[in-house]
Amino acid sequence: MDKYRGYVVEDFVLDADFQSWVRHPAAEKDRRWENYKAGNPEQAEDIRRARLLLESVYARFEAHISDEEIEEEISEMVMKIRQTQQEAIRPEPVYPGVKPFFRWLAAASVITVAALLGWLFFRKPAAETEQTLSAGIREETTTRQNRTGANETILLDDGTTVVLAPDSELRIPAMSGGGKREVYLTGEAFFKVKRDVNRPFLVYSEKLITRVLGTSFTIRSIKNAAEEVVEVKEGKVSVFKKEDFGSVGTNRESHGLLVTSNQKVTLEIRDNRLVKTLSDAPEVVPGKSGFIRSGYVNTPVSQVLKDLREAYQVDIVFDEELLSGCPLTAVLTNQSLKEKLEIICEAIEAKYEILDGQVMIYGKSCSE
Amino acid sequence: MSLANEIAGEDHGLWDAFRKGSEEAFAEITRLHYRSLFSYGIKFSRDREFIKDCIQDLFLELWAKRESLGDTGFIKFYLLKSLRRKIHREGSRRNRIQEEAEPDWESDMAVDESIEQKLIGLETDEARWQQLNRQLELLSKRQQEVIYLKFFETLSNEAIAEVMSISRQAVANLIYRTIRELRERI
Repeated sequence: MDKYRGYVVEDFVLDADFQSWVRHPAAEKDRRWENYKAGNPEQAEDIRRARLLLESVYARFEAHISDEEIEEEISEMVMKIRQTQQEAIRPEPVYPGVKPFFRWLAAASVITVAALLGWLFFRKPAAETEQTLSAGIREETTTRQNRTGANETILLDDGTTVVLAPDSELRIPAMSGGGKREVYLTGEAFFKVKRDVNRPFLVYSEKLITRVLGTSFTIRSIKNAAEEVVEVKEGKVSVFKKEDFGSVGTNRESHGLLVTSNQKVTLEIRDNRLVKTLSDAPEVVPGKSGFIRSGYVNTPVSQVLKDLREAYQVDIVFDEELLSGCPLTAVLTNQSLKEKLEIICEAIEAKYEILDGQVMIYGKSCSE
Repeated sequence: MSLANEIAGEDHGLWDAFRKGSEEAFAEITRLHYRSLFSYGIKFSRDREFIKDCIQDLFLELWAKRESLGDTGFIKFYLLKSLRRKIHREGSRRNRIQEEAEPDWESDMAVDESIEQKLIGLETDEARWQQLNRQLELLSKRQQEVIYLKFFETLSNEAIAEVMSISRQAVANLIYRTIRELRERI
């Protein structure tokens, strides 16, 4: 660290190690720089200022785009590449270190259906259920099994794109002629559903049915899990238990659950109960990051909560009259939703609770 | 860091696979650079879909001419430069950005004057942070771009000069001037 002696703000901000410390903080780096500061107190102020300067630059220039949004773009590009060279024989992948094409599935899925408990065991009865539900799987049904180590992209007749993960299976009844749009999934897949209001797209997994009008989402089904989960990143889907789905025509909304952005529904296999909660790590909905301002200064908390509501598309319930008198000064760009709520609640001495996929804020008036 | 060193930092195996037509390599190269390109592009236009279109075109063009590409590419640098050109060209055509010699570096943050007034006299980090943001806002488009390329993309002055089509000395001067203006605010 000797080279830093005599450094001033300008030198620090241009130093790669210093930048890395500010941008990607880590305990080890903290220790190194704190030690340096302790040994060189005359530079402490320069270090502090340099750090502040870089922090504000990083906060300002950060673009908000989610991993899913990027992966969606990538799969779209790969589809286009394939379309332009459909006849050409694809060369074997020659790059050995390449990561699984759909590794993002593990990260933050748009919709996650986890489960398929005892899939092998119950496979036959399940198929029968599906037959009755879908008016029979005709002979034109195609089955795609992905037994390779890489993801496989499938373009359905209706324009929907499905990318099937390894060890997964998708059965696709013929969709031509304006028939139903339904597929049967075992394993993991990414769906980009072509919008068609007249023909909802249905995905059957072990115990759940997910109904979509048109959005992009991911389904992950893991065998032998104790629960089956549908998690929505963006958009809106309805989730039904299979046994309830038959009655949809008669009493449309009685058994299905509407799941929207940053919510998830869990089917607990043991007691066969559907529970709706907030996603574990809600994320700003793609394209909505503009709602959160880069800094709030004496802003009414009610306004801040409204901004969060728009950005995350999550219901935040609070007494507007009560909280409009509570000013908040904070920077809320880089924390998780829960951290943001904690910061807000601490500032106005309120509490929050997550109930049925909504956030409830319990506060008191600040004007007294 | 010289341009040669930055090139050496790229993954040759991946690049070779890309040139030979591997879809996985295509996806991986896209994945490596997407966020960076998007962050850069979105500064010129707030239209996310437009920027995504430009990035798609960029990669599809790269793929189409993969066989004629050189042995090594300083990919990141090449992509940033190409994206900048594309946004400008497409933007003018589609009227997304103003017809100007250079693409607009849009600002997406409005700081209330009254907020600044309130902050005068405050010496907290929060106040300084706000002032810095205000100052960042006041930087010229070129200054903002140079700061982005320097601090976010950590490009060398030489590479920045190439991307922005200005001289290396001009880049050095611009960076120096910008940092000085910013530090006056803290």
